[in-house]
Amino acid sequence: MNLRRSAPSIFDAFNARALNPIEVAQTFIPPNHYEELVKPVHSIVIGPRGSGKTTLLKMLQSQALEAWQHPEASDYRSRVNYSGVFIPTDIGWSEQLKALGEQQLSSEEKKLFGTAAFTTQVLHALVDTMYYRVHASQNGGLVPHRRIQISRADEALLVTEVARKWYLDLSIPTFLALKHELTARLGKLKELSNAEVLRGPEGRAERLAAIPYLLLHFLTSAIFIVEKFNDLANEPNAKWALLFDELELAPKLIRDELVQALRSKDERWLFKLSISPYSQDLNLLKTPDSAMPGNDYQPIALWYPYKEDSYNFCNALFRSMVEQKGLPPTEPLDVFGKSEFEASKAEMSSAYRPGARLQKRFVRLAQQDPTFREYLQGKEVDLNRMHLLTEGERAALVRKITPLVTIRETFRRSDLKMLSGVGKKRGRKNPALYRGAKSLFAIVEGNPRWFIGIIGNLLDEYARTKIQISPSKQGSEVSRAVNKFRALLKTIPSPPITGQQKPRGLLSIIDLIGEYVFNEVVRNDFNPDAVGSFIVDSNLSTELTESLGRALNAGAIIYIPGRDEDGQYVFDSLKGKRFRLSYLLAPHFGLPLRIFEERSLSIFLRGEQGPNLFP
Amino acid sequence: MKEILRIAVVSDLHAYDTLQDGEARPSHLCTTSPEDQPTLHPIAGLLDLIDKDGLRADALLCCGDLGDKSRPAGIKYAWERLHLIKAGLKADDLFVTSGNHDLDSRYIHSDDAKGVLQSLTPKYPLADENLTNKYWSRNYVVLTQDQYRIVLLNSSAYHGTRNEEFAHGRVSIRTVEALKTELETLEKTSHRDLNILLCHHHPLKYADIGDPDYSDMEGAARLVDALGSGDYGHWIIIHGHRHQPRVTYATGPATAPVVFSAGSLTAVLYPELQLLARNQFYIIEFPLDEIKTLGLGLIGTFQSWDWVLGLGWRRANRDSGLPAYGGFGNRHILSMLDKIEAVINSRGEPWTLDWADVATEVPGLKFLLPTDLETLIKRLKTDKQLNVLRDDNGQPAQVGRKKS
Repeated sequence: MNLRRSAPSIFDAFNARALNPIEVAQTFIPPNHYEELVKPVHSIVIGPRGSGKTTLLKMLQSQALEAWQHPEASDYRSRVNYSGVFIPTDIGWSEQLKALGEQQLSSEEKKLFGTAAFTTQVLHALVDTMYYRVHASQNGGLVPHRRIQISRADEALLVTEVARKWYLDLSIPTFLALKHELTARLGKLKELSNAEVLRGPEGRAERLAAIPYLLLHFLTSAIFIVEKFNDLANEPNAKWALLFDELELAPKLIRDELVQALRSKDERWLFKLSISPYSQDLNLLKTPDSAMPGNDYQPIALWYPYKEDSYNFCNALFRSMVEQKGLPPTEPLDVFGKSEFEASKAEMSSAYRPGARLQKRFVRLAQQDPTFREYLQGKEVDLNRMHLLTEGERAALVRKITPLVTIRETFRRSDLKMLSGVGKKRGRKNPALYRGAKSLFAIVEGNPRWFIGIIGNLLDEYARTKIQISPSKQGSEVSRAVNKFRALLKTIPSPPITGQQKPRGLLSIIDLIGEYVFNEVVRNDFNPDAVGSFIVDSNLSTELTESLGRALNAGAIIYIPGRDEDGQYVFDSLKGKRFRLSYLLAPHFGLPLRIFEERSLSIFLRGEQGPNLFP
Repeated sequence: MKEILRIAVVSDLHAYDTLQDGEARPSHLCTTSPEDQPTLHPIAGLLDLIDKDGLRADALLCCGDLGDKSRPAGIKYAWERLHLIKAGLKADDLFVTSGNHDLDSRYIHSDDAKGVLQSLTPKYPLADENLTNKYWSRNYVVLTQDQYRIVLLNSSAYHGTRNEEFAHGRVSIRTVEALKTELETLEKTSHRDLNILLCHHHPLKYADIGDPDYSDMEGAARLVDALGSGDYGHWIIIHGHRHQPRVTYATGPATAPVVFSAGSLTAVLYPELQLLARNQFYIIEFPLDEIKTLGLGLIGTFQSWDWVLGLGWRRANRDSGLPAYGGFGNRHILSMLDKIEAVINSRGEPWTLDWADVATEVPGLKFLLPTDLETLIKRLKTDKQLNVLRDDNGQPAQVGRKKS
């Protein structure tokens, strides 16, 4: 069940799940989303695999903030004026408990054990945070964040009282002992549910009702210790942020609890949750009394429908990697060169001068593509005078279509055979076309894990050779990532598409979309407003819509919000929403790195191309 | 004068280039693996750990088995990597000794068992030609440093001379006697406190975990007796070969040597070992001032890291072989019990203390063997009703009484 919800991810070696807060802090570069996230409001961080959800949440813990060395670190340390308590969704407690009594325990009983395990996990994380604030070591180059001093006697009084309330027996009266006993309770819960399966249902209700800690609620139990701790720390109104990671892996009842908690008005709590964008049974977000984005919580979407929005973050990541690898200050352009799809700022008009690299492309395409010539005539564009246009004219008439011209010129030339209908559906073998800093940044989609996996690898090569990385090397690194990604998409289940031989999972539908867009932008008549994005329409089967949801969680398709969307980024259905293919897949199909017009997906799947505008 | 002498220890790298048909991978160190991923390549990972954590050592010691089955490419590769590790640690010296896999005793690659080692660059085991010749001709060499003395003993010296010799180590009577004579002639008053003997094979048999242990160093009892006699100062023997980390005392009088068995840095561990050990890296610290003031003999502490493929080097845990932190040299467990109780009692309510505070007031505490520390923790509970809590590395973190 949970495996189905959790989309797989490439470059999983860079997953922050296994890293401790100090390790996360060592390489953390703050994206704009971090600034949003630190605000003292409830938030939901939404993003596909690898988009950095876990890293962002982990960076709200004192331990991470203390170890973080970054020019903005001290500013952020002062802004995080609350204690972050990171709670991983441990597949252990939800899955094992569920599996244990799969047949033998009633759903009410499973709920009881599941909730008790969840409560125990939350209290454990909370006590761990308190222990750190009071007892963490002072050395090791850490900059203190919200440390406090509590006398041993006060600590002993507090934990003794709390232990009584939580039905725990401590070997010594300290936070550490409290934490250990909560760990032990998790084990105990497992034993207990095992034993109950063996004992059978007779008398079970009485037996379970007699175990008082099974009935503890996570928030009421937590506020008990928080109140006392705040008093001892002399900060009666101090806030505590409960950071719940990977909510899509949690059992539904716990997700429901947390989504409900977003409406909490208790000033001492902040809830910050992370979740994949598509979650089938999160309909709670939709009922009239459920939490509202922007009102009860701040939604933070970790993807960039428009590639330009990710460039700042990519540049910052790039600079930090350059520094980490011990290189002198180096620009992305030095390492990767120019993109084939656009003129750099430095070039501006000169790239369109007669004989310059982009102008030559325009000329070549005009020679082989009559529909492009017609377009140019219609717009009265003289290819020898493009550099003389005003900046505004050039933007509207020339720069806008440059990516399209590049793609068309490249693939109409190499795909003459395909144009005649021979040799359909193979990967377009020109990944080197996607070289250059801006193109690589677009391809990694601002996804930190993809960035490290692709650009990090190329930077290692640059660190060795100190010469600009060749287009073919860039191309092969991109191809490697694309192939990995495609292999992974094959493992995500999807209903069969007609005429399909081997089961290829999600890849079948992704390939259909990619081929359709390629037809639109390359094979069909030249059209500056070709179709390149799709709307999930109501003619699609439920199964297909569900597998598109998984594609969204894996990062294979990217949501493009409309102008008047309500900031709702967690979907239980994709119907009516607009998406594009991830730019990571563009080199495989030979697609431009830009957003084009939309069309209903069912039209894509029927294989109907749009009308010829320039017959 | 330094207050602390730091020694980094690696052992049993078993580097390889190609495999025979059906041959299992001997180690995580293939000469052709990419070295740019610190979480996937153990040497890249180690250099990354050293760099990130600012680890430093005065000397790097390697207990042998650079390559696997005397593969020339593996030996050469590992030798070069050892120099990178030494540079990373900013160490003054690299000391090595020869393992059974470093000598081509089955004549697989050439007719000269020592050939690969003798043709290495930089020169192996030492840059000094005379000392290197002594190592090869006399099977040991004594090096007197500023603050310690180290003996490199070649326990694989007879490999390549007769059948089945490669199955175990050996130190001959002649070698032990020559070593004794040389130590006697060296100035007796200096370096009595800190002497290191580096060798490949284990001088003490292990309790069996699979087949009976036959691969130890023949003749080692004589060596251990000599070093433990007290006539030549206090000793620690650092060895490899078993891939099974442990630290213990040799049999003999109170001056019997400390025996530090380094786990393998990168070898694939035999199945029967996998539950008991990890691939480990160590830094041993000898507190030169406390060696003089505490009167416990040769004492020290060590830190251990485990190799976790995909995560890189991590602080070891309780089941790794040697724990993240440990000590040796304090052979008086029981006297610690009363001292700890006295510290707790002197602080009064609520009868809880951080272990670090206790260790400050009971200076011998951190020099207990890991196994002795476990005994101490048990006895604190049964004899003194003191409970010890551990941290995430399994190390004692707090001690105290239950609140009545």
